[in-house]
Amino acid sequence: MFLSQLKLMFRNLWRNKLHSLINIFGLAIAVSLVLLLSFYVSNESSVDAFHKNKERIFRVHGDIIETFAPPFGQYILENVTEAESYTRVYSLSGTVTYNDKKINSGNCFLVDSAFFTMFSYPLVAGQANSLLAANENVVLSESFAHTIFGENDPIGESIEFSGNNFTVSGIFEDFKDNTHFVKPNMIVNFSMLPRVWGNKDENSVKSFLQSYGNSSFGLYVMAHENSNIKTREVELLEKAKEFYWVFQNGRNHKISFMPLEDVYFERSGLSYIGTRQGNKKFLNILAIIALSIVIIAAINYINLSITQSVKRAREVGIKKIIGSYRWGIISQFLIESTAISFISTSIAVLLTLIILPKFNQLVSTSFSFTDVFNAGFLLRSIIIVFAIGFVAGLIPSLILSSYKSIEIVKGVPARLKNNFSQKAMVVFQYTVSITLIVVVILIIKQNNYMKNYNLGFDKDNTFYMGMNNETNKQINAFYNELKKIPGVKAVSFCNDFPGGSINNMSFVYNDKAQSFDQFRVDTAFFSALGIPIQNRISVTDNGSDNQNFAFILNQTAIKELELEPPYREIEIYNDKIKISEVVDDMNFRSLYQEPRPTLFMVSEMKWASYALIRGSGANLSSIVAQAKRVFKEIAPADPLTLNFIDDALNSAYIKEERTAKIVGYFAIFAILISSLGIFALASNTTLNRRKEVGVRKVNGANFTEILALLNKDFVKWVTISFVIATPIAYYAINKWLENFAYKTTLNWWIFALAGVLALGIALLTVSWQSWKAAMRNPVEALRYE
Amino acid sequence: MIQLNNIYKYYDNKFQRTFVLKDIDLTINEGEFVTVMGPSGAGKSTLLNIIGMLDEPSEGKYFFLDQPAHELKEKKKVEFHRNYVGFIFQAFHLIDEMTVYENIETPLIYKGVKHKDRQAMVADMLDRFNMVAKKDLFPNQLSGGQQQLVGIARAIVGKPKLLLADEPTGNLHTDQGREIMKLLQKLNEEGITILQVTHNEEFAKCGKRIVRLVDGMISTDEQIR
Repeated sequence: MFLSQLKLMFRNLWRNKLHSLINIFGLAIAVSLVLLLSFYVSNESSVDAFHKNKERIFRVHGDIIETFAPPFGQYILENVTEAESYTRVYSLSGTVTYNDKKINSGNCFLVDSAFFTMFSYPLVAGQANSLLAANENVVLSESFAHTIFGENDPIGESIEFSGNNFTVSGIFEDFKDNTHFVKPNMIVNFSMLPRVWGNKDENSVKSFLQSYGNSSFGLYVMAHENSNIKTREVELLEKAKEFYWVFQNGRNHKISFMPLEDVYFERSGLSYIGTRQGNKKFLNILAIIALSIVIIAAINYINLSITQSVKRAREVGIKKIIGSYRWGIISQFLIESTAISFISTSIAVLLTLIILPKFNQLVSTSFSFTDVFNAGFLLRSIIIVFAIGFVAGLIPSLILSSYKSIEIVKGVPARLKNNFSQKAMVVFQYTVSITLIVVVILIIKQNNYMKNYNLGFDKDNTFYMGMNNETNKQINAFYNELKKIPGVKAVSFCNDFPGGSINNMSFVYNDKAQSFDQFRVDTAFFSALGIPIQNRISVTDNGSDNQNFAFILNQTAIKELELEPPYREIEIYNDKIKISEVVDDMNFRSLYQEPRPTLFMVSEMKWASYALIRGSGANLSSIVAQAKRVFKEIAPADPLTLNFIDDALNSAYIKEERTAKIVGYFAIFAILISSLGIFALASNTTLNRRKEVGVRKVNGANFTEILALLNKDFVKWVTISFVIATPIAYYAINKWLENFAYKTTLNWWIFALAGVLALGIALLTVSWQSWKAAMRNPVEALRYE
Repeated sequence: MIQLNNIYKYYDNKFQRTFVLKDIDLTINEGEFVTVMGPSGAGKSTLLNIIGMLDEPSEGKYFFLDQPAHELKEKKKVEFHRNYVGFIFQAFHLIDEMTVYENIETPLIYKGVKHKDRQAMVADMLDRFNMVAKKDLFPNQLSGGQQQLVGIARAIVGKPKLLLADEPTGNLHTDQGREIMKLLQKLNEEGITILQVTHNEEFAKCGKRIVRLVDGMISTDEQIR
């Protein structure tokens, strides 16, 4: 029975090849998207779930800060009995030297020796508890070890990193996407940080490690088993208030131990402590889209099946006459839909393989086939097969099985009422499509708006190069050579620049805690970024501590400090600071936020992190090429980093661009699948109205009148969809725009464009059927009566 | 076997009631071969459909094998179709996606006949109608006469007591029609009760009794053999 039903199904599929193809592939595309998205979503939600001690590891947080000073971890260990061990985490990069080879280190983590025993990162070589036993130990990632040593055994080998010698003590497997840490290439002991920074003096190394001054290090604590460390938060805060400035003057009102698995979605994403931020909103968007796509595809299946049912009504009628129960008919169609769902899902699995590389690129993941095809994937596929099979099969099977056999016997061609549910389903499909189109247009518009926004400085035509030991040693020669390049307008040396890392400066002014952006720059910085300066800034090197600096504040800083003109002097860190100039606010960070209070510390730069070079737009590429040449001449062994300021700034919007792209792709799929749906529906409508069309033609209706008659309904549906979609899209867009401090305008034409697009596509799809109907010889249609 | 008492069939429109059958009294005994004749719209097919339990009378009583058929539930009707009645149609109504073999086999599956027995019974039918060679063909690969043979085979394979034929020769050439009628006569001789509707006087005479309907009422009822 079962087999014969399947056989019958395949013969039916084969007979209606076009419908079958639309059905199966529409479903397959949707299922493969869902499979991928569900994999991504489940992967994201299980970040850091693999650590054996995940229940016991917490990250320490204030209510506004998530980084602390070096001795605070030890303080917690000594004062909170529940704490078993801790690790600080800091990330930086530098140059690795092995023999004559010089390589950029990429991410180098500085952590405490407990790092590898707390977290469960798999090791290739070495013992977790002894990897960082000695200060001079370094642990390498598998791939980075291979980059340095090739096939040779790296254990025990010595490398130089930023002027210090390290011995390779172990190898860890490259971090995967399932942790909130950004993949490190190497990991060394935290206590080496001052030395890596270039500080060789034993006493100042010690004082750094014991000082509460610099609070910029991630801190993770592991609690004893079966203990409740969270109950100690208040007590710890009270104690810390007594000696630790970040908890004084109302800066932070809380200390919390955040469970490891929450860190990724809650507060992460600080590059200098090596973490990345998960995006729950993005995840939710993907989940909603995935669900919509499946519903659209299922609706198609239902609509196509109902349309097909006209052709299958006779089969149903006959079966009933020769003795089938209604249940027999229902089960037959449920089995069919499940089988089709199975076929589609199988194709979908293959499609997933094809889409995966593109998907990786889009969502910036690095999933391999073996990652994707796990037990969970299989389980999800099977669930999808039965869920779609049942949900999509139920309605058509109920409709089909309700046919009265008497009508078949009477020879009346089964005629399907254009029932309400079908219309509702089409309206749903178009509502989703139109909403997606609106959202895509707006995301693109917002992106363009941000890229072209007047930031208060000129981000174009300026690029930066990372400075190393060698270039710093010959900084004057480097400057002169760069200046000689034709077309170069300005060369500036600085430690901070827009789009790069910007130093934070926290201090108390008039009993109010302040957090400023601090730029350490030279006088050329302003011309390199086209920032207008009224007074000539004079930096005189007369030896006294503050006299060789010129201080410039922006308007927001003035407001924050509540200064009244004329601005002369303020006192920060017990130092008197003379204000040379006040400049307008500039958006040095992304447009997600308002400009921050900013202090420029201008001096001659004898040692800088970056060189900013401004060229004329005309021959920028040749300037870049020559700048590279200059760099290589002065520091042939140093790794070269070079990027444009506008690219660096725009990289903040990559996430939005990615969202736009993904929503865009899905919008296309949604429209495509919906179009397939109304295509089938149109063929049904024209079939049903065959007689009407015939009669009208016989009575003199012309081609265009028939076309208008048949298309009218679809125009109506799309219009209704448009009316429903508009408020939904409006709400979604407003919600999304809340992310930005600077928002593009919401024009009416965005909605109009989306509506017209949807209508146009719908009409194109439907008109082919209508055209055929209008062209048909009326005799054919009337013969049936 | 069949007893109809005061059967009415009508349709109500907004302002008027259209009668299809009026006050039909009819008794058919086992082994009869009854032909129903009459002009278009006289209610022949409706009468047949009511007897076949595809349609329900608006008023009146219908007893099949002394059971009140007008009171049967949907499930009982299915049992009735499975075990007692076979249908033959003017338009054949074979299932296009099924082969000849499968078409004949289907009612047996619904009846719950075992696989082995089914094979034997279908083979028997194919043999009897000389269609063994055509068992794997689809209906659209057969001539009209052959399709109707398959239709008859499907109707009788479950050994029904009653065979209902609604213009079985209506779509056939005269020669093919004669053959079908011969077959029906033979089946009747073997004991199956047959009720057929036809317009064709020649084929009407193949039966043993002719009932003529005019405007939903029985005008004549004569035994011819």
